Amino acid sequence: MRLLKLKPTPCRWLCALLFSVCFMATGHGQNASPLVIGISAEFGLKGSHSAQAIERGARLAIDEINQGGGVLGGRKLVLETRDDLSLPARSVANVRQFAANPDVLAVFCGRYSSAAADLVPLVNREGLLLLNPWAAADAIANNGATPNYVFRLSMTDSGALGLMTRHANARKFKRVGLLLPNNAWGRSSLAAFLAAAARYPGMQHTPLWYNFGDQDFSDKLLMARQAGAQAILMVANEAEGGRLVQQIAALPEAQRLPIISHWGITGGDFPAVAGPALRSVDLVVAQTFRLHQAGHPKAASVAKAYKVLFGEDLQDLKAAAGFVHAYDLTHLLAMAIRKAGSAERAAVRGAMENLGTYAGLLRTHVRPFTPTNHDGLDQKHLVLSRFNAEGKLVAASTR
Amino acid sequence: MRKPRIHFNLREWSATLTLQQRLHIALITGALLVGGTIAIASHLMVRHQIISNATGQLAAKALLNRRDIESRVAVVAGEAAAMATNPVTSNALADSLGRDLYLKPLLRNYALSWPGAALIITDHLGKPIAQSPNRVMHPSGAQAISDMLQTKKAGARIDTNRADAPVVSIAYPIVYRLTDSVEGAVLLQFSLDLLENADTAYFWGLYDASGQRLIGSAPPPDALEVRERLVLPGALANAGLTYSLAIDKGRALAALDYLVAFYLGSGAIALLLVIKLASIAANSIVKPLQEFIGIVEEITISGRPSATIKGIVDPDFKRLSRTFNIMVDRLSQSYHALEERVAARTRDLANSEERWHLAVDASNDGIWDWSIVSGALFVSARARVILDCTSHGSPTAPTLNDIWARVHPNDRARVFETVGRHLRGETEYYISEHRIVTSDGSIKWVSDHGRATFDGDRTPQRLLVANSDMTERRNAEDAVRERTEQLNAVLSVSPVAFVSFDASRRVRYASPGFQDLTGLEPAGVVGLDEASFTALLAERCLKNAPYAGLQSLRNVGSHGVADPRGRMELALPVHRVIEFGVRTGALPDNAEVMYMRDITREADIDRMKSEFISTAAHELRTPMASIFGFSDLLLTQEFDPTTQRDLLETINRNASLMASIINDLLDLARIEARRDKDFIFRQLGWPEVARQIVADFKVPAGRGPVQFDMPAQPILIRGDQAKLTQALGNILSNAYKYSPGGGDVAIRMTLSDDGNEAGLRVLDGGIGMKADEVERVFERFFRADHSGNIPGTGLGMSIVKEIISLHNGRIELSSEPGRGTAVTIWLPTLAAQEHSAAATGTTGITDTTGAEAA
Repeated sequence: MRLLKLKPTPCRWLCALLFSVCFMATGHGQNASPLVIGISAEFGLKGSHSAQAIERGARLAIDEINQGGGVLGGRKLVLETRDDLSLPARSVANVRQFAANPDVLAVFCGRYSSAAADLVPLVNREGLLLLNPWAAADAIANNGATPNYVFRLSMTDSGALGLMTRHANARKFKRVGLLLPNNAWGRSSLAAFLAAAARYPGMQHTPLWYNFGDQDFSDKLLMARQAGAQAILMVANEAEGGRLVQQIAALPEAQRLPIISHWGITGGDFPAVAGPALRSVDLVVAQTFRLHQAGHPKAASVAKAYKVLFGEDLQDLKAAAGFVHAYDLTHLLAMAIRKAGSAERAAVRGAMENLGTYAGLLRTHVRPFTPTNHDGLDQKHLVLSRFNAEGKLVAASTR
Repeated sequence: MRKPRIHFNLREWSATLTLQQRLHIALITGALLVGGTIAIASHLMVRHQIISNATGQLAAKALLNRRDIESRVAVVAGEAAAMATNPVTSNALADSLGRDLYLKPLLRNYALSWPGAALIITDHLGKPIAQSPNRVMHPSGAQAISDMLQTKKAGARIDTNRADAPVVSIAYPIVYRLTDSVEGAVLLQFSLDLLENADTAYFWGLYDASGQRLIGSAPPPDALEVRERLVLPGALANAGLTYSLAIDKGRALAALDYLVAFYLGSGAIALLLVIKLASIAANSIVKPLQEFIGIVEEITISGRPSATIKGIVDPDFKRLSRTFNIMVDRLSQSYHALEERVAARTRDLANSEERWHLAVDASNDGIWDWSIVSGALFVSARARVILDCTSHGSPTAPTLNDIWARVHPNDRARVFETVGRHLRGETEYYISEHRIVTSDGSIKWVSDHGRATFDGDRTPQRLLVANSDMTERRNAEDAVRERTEQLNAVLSVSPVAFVSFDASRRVRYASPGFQDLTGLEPAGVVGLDEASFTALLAERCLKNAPYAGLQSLRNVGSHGVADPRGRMELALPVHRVIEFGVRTGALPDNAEVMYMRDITREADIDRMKSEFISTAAHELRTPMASIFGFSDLLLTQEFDPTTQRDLLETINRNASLMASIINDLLDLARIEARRDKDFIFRQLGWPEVARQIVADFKVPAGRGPVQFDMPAQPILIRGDQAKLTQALGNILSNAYKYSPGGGDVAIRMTLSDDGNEAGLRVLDGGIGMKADEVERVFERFFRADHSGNIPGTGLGMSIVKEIISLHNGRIELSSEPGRGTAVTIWLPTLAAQEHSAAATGTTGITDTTGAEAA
């Protein structure tokens, strides 16, 4: 089984540059430079696949759009990637550079809410579209700015925590430990949980704050147990989530708390990170869709195109949510350009709020964004999944 | 321009002063010198002590201050470094919206702890994301961050381009834990004011590695200063900062100024007191002294120790004057006693010297006495005679050179060496015997016996030598030595051994010949008494001829036998027959002399002669008995003619045998006695001669002729043809006689391989001989025939052997019983003889005859 490992190697930067130059050349041939879509995401993060999945989704969509003659009468789209290592300082610096280039119409952010949240005031000030295929903090998309240049097609913390809390309540877990990262994502998730928990009388929680990069969660588990927690609501990425699963699995079976996880852990190869411990722990994870069970008629054609473009099976793609969301967002952007009839950022932004119906890979989007709602995904559609023995995500009810 | 020189002579000046003035000046000068020396030494010691104390205090304070600075920096920097590695700080990099919540309290706490220090947290570009409330970033911070981002290690900068105190910036890396890369910095900044810690009495400063002062005040030029290298953590370790603490030297030495003022004041008062006291002391010393001077002057003028001192008040001087008076009285008494003793000693000395001169003159020994120090030389009258110095040189007393000139030139080095060794103290006495050459050129032997005297430094002062004339004694000794050597030479070559005994009959001497005869070393027997000596010799004798000892001879001698002699046979070292005798000597050490003579050869000859006579008599007795017996028969009885003839033939045959024996004996005796004097040697063609001999040989009846085998080439020898004819005839005769069973007799002549010898071999097939018989063939009267049927004298082969050996030849004989005998005569060829003669240098061999024959 071949895996395409996408890392921010110099070679890869060179490829991206050559690609851009190539499109610029053809653009010149048609009296218009290619329209640039940027990505500033966590390409260089150890074990993370989300940035790479987002890039592939956008790249496949751009390929399809360019195959179809581009936009605005033949103007090609090109993709330009920059690594932010999940750090706000780096993402801001990246997006400043994108914003300085008039050919850049929109920028994708990555998975990390903290890195994305810092971009919001910047893009709104610069008038640069920020397409969010993953970062879940609520305040990113509906940030209150006018005009708002941020459009998200992804899960929100409110949606995720709402689903997770509902599931806990359904399983009669009235006392939960809430594992939260010490950053924007964690604080947004806490707010979302508190809002959700308010709907379930008697739902009590113990906040368990951790810092990115922590290795040891035993004290958190101890606190949870001392507080009488019946389950852990986990807001974490694959690295910290994997460690927690291993440390719970190491406990006696009676002490192993079920884990209800935010979808951050799907940004990497979680089964590999958690290892065999994953099978010893009761873990469900929030998801926007299930790639492997999609009976959607478009799934097959996309998988075929994916195979042609990247030489790999879509089934093997890690962090597939990023791919799906970026793919749909790119097509939605192209729709908006066409609708606006211009590549001007403000015009396209306006068009984005008034799109029609688009039969996307995630689902059929019917006017996904409005002037008051820039979250393009209805959170009612979230599902809970679990990892089967092969490490594939399946419906939570399935074993 | 030359300055006029002022001449001041202290000695002259002091001579003009009175004793009182001099004492006065000396006391004041002494007081000033002592006081001044103490003051200067005290000043130097106190000064040194003060500086040493101040330096020590300064060093201690500097050490404490340095440690204080180091610990402050360590804490300030340590907390900043801890901030950089805090997980919260790493987390804050990815938490731009929420980080103030937890970073602010940390930074505020830090600012409260260290008001003079600022902490700034920056992102990977150095842009501040949080900072402590008290300061804004100083420009050197950006440089420190830049350094840190390049090296990924803490970087430090010290900004000195400021009017006020320099600012230290240290940037610590923040490692982002998700990527393990440096994504931010904790920047610590503080002014060096923060480290100020000295009080106003001191000058303090911090200096960088190049020695430039960063902060603090410059010490005055002559300050006492201590510098200590600061040991700082991490990034500041390489900055090479030095801490300096100094104190003004003048301030440190202020106490010394007070001390000097005190010394000067008290010194002035002490000086006034000293001047006054010196004046009083000088007066009290000088006053009685002047009275003494008066008395002493009086005694000096009178010339006799008689005056006395009166009226002295001072107690010490009173004692002195009393003692002085007693001393003058005693001196007066001693003066008279001494005069008498001197007169007495002078008389004694004159007597002693007279005796000495009488002794010297009376002695047969000469004496000379050399004072090495003064060079004076006394030579006694006898010494002048012995050393022959009377008529030599000046008519006055002889000098050392006169004595030395007499010493024999060949002895001078030895005498000089001997005297020198004695004068260097290496010998106790100077003893020398040497020759002198008298004025008439004759040689005298002189014996010197002397001894030097030395002073305390071992330097010789005087040499006294007695000498005597040794000439007559030396001559006598030489004569005795010469005679002894002659005697020893005679004894050492004499074959007769001598052993002398003293009066108690102990061995006193054994001559070298004694060892030659007995193998006993003379040294081993000297000192033995007679019994031991006898036993020692008896051990070495044969059992059947023991040594009977000298006593046996004495016994015989006592019976009137003149010169009795004894005989013994030694078994060791070789068989020897010794004849010994004893003579009585005249001297106690030589009371008896035993002599021993080797008579082995004489004894052998005697024995052989006796044996020969007995054998010859026996051989002659047998035919004589037949002649006597048969002739007696014929005279007493009548026989028929046939029987009578038989008897007569028997008588005739035995008489013939006797005649043969007597002839052979005479031949043999003549040959032995005359050796080769009867021989007539000529050059002979040996084959021809042999051929002639064989032809002349009468072969017994019924036997075949001699088989003859001669070489064709000529072989020359030197020989006596008649004698060779006799020798070969004897051999041929034996060959036929001892082959009674018949068989051929053959002669073969050959040359040896080298051609030096001619061999003539006679072979027979007769009865042969056994090996032991072959060995005895050449003995006289030996017969190989045991049957008695073969006639012969038993002397033939003896004659052959004598003849051949006188020809320098040799005989080989091989035989086997029942198979026959081969006799080979080997004679040297003429060529070999000439060659041999040439090699020995003789003039060659000519045809000569013996002297008698000629």
